[in-house]
Amino acid sequence: MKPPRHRPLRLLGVLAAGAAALIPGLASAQVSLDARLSALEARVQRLDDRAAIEKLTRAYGYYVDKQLWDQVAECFSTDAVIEIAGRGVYRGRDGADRLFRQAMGGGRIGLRDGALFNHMILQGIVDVAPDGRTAQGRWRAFVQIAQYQALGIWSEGTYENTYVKRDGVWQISGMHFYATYYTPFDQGWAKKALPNNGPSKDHGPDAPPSVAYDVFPGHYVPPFHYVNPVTGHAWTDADSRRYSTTGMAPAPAGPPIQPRNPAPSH
Amino acid sequence: MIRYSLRLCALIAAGGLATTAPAAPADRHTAAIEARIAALEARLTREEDRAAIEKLTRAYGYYIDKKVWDEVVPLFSEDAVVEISGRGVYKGSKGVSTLFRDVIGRSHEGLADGELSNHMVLQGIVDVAPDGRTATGRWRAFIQIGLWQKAALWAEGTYDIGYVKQDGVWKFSRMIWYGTYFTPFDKGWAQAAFGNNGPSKQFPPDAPPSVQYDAFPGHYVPPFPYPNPVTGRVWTEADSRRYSTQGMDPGHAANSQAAGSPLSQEAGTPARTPGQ
Repeated sequence: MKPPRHRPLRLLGVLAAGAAALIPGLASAQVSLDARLSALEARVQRLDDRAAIEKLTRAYGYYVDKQLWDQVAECFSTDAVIEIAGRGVYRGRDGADRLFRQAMGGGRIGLRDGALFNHMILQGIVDVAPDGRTAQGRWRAFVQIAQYQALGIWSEGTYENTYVKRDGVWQISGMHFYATYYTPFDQGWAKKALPNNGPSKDHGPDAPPSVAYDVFPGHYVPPFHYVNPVTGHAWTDADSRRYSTTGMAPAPAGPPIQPRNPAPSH
Repeated sequence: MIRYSLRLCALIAAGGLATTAPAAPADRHTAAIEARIAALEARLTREEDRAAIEKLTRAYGYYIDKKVWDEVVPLFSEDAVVEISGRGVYKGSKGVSTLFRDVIGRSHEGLADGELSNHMVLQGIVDVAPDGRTATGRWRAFIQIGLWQKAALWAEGTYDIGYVKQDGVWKFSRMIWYGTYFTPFDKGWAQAAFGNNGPSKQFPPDAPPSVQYDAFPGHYVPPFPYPNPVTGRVWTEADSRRYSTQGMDPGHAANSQAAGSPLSQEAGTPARTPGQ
């Protein structure tokens, strides 16, 4: 993305001022035109920012689908804080590589034979800060994970992300994915609920999970970063606790659910 | 934008140099530029309106997921008209509150223990009226609902939504949700289909369902609020009838108190088994 160009506008301002000096009657009109153009540019910039952030987040999803962990890690800022399910907190580019490529990918980039790792990234709400430097987003992933003839899982969860604009480019600076449920394809959420993914033993996090929460059959309301769009009511952590269960997770966070290569035969 | 700014510069520069000419041409230039800026402002406001409406609708979905009725109910205007599935028409703030809190929420704030109420709100088409005061939307919800060790269902359906901007804030003024299918997880839509949800006896609607339609294995085409984006052809209710079944809803929603999925039933209603 190219940074916005201000030169024509500045030039306009100079010319407008000159014209205003020469024609006193035009002064107020042109100063006001200048101000209105500046306001328009700022508003368009925020919509452009929203579009860029939507693209970034959806692009992340398409990379995750195929476990292209190098592409995934590059969606994050160098100081990003990332927490996925119950895996704990990973920090920075090194943390992103350890979480995605090593802990989730087992050191491999790309799907194994017979693996499915679909993450549909949906229902995005993106709020760009007034200064245009940071943003927040709430999204959800609808997930199908499989290893052919070994494993088939439905899963869903909520993202609360933060974004930062560096050198004109939006990057993910914070990602917290809260799982809602994991259930085997052949049984479903009435009959079988799997525990949250826990920390990796071999490629552990920089810090333990920042919040303990229940996946289905328990439930948790990940705090909303935005106020209620009509009432302006701000959601608090206390609200989340009030609307959530404790101790109803199917089990403590367990070994991560991910496609495994069942002994390659070739 | 750049080219536009440069042209604007040229115009203003020309105005500045024309000091000896009568003021009228410069005034005309200024007026023309003002009109173009005003047009840009109006177009931009519509884009911002669309963004605000998308946020409102998606936020609704996240609140519904967790049955946070305190956040859901205020999203509707005071004179809103709401109709979800075959439950009938609820009107105004009181009706909206009754529908969500008492009928759908069974007078419980938040999810019950072991409950799942995922509503993914997707594929939005939002059209803001030229005057910027109202808008229409078509969306869909892809749904996973259930109660641990009792029921698990897939469902999907279409929203037909009206919006109104009041004091600068967009709200829902009308919401109709048409169920497409309700199917138990362990059987799927080839083997089992629940009927549409019917009206509540305990908290009856202000008016019966505005339209009788079939959920799967029947089908219904909710009228499109927008004309065809290419041809401009307007969709009519007659079109919807022509492309829809009649009498194929497994529960015959409008006629049956027992219609609907096990999760929509009121206390004392005998448990239903799915049709087919």
